[in-house]
Amino acid sequence: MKERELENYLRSHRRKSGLSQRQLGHLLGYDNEVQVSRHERFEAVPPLDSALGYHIVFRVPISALFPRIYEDVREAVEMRLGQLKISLQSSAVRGREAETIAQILVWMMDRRDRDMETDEY
Amino acid sequence: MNIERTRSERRIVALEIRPRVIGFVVFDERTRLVDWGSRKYRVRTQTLSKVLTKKLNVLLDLYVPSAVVVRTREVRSRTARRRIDIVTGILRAEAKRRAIKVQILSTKAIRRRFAFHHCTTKQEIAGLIAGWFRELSLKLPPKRKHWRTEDSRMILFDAAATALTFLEVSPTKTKSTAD
Repeated sequence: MKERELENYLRSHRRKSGLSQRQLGHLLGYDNEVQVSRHERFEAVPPLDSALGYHIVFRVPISALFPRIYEDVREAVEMRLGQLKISLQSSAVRGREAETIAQILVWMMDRRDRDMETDEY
Repeated sequence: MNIERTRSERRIVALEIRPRVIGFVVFDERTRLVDWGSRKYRVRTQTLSKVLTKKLNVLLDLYVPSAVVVRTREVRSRTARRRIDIVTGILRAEAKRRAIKVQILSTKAIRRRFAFHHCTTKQEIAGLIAGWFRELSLKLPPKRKHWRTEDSRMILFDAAATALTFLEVSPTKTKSTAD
């Protein structure tokens, strides 16, 4: 069985803060603790405004709060980027379209270089 | 203990089983303390199985650990020993159903591991763990007077000691979940 990251670390951060589910729910604008409880038990994925709310409350990046979702999205997007790159490199267009494709390919190279720099740190 | 095997554990749940309460800690990536707490089951022995299965299921389904670590204890009372045996049996069955390893550690092994840090009493071990994990420091009970029973919060530190012995780590600086 391949183990994965936990879906989120909301409960862990909340317990470290000492906040109750109700208090955290109130901070996020909920009427009660039900939604926070559901998020903590991985029964529901919080909407974007709540995810940002968690990030603001705990001062932890969303990617660290929701590592599994982040990893799933990252893998999927990176795979599609790879496919896009291959299709752009193999396209045989000229003129302005070619310029646009070149711009995208340069941006992709810059993006990869930035990733490598980030990895070094 | 096989060091290579334990190092590959990503997430573990350590349990401290008592006749009427279970203490637990969850560690992720060896030094990241994810959750902790206790679950009471002050029910008759006949209904213990049903109540406890539900409580254990919640814990195991939520954290999907690669291993559950339990400490064995010497218990004088026959009733208490019977209840602990029932709890351990349920735990083994539920873990087996999910293909989770159950590792039993002896109290001696835990004592030996903490003796390395010059901690020989439960209070000293709890103090050391509270120093490593700031979030547990507020749970550290005061030193027990010899005429008093053990503070209920001590169960958390017993579970944490079991986990840290199994993981073979001495976190000088604990990893925050923010990392």
